[in-house]
Amino acid sequence: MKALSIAATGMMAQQTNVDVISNNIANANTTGFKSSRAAFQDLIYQSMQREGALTSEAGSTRPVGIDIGLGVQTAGTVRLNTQGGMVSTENSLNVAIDGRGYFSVLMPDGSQAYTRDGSFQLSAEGEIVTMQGYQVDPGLVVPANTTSVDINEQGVVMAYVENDPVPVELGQLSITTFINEPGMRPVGNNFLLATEASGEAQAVNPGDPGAGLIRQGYLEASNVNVIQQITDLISAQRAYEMNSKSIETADQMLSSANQIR
Amino acid sequence: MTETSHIGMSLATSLQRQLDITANNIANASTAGYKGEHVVFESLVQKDAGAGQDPASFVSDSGSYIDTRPGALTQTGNPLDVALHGDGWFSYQTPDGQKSYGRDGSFTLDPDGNLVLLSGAKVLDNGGAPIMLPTQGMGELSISEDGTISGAGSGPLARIGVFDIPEIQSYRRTGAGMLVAPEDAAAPRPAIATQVMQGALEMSNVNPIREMTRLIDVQRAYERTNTLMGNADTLRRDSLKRIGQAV
Repeated sequence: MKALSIAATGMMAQQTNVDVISNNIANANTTGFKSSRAAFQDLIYQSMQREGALTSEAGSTRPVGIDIGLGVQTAGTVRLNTQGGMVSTENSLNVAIDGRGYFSVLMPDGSQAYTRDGSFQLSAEGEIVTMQGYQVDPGLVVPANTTSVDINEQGVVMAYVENDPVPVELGQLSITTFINEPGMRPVGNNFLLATEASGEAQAVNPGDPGAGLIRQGYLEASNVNVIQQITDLISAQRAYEMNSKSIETADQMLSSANQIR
Repeated sequence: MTETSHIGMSLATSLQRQLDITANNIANASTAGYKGEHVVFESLVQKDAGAGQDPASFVSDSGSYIDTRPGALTQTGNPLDVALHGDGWFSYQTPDGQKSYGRDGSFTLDPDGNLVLLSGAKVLDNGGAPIMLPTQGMGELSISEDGTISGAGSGPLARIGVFDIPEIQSYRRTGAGMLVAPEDAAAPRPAIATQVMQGALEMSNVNPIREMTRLIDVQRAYERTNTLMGNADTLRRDSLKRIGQAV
């Protein structure tokens, strides 16, 4: 009787499912957050009787076998990389990517991290930084007495200094694309890291083929569909209960076997 | 007399297997593209019962079959989630080179641009070759109803292979949603009436109500057969006692 361990794998899978769904709901208002989905696959099968085995000397074969699956496993959590909604903030240093791509951020330890969260600030030195104070590539510095900053769709940052009607071009915000975005590793603080699975980071300019455009004054909301998450939560709970019923049934059957005499 | 217990035991063994299969179905209630498994019972009639006796018939679970009915489709919005509407099957190449078939359409891209399943198995096109997409300069991919993948403004890149396999019941399950063809199987033909749907996933086709009632059925049948075996034992013990008294 393998039902006990089979149902246990089912319960563990649903626990993972609930964990992923809870994290999605918790981050429903996180800028640039992408919702994830736990994906499952069936475990290996034990063949009690092989399909295709000979059933007679005349060469007739068994059309179907008995395959007993050993449960379920989590294949992975897949991030859904659809566009989140655009929220107007009217802050000139808030930028959103409309399309594919990530802002590249220089972490304090010198490594690169990537983010869709464009709620940038100025450091004490006038550098464009993230909320954590980390430098945003390519490290643009806004002059001291700037009256306003303009960022166009291609990510070119222009500063209007004092009363000069001609803006100073500071540089271009670059963005990075990856072939397999769900393969990036989330590390918290809205940052993702490149991995073997995500493929090489490809630095592109906003508006290049396959890359998104920059929208100044907007932030990208999370793409969590809360109604979907709640219905998924309900079905995960019911599936968990169903698995516990399998365990209960197996338990009662074993107990009835013990009562034969 | 011993036969009574043996008949009961044949049922009990089969029921245990049926419980395992039912538990596996329930465990895979959230597995994309999973197809339920069901058991076929048959009676195994004793050949020479001896003159004047009724032949005893034992229970045997002669096989299990795959429930090929479609599972519910859910919209995921992910451009690389693909569901099949119809009887067709995707074909994959597992990392160890085995060609297999399944309905799991939760695809992703690996760093080299191969279209793969989450298990790493490559998705094959309609000619049986792994699908490889360019790694640079691609915007959103779109997948048409016949499985043709095209990038934004780049024209058709590949076509996802979808096959009709009428003899799917003879295929062997190997886990991770894979079915492997038996050695003498004919090559599957390209599917005729199956549509490919982008942005959706086919969920498990396990029917919770049916599986729950089967759990109850199995349990009660198991209790019945255990009672039967218990009764047969009591009967044997009683008769031995009486024979002993008579002597």
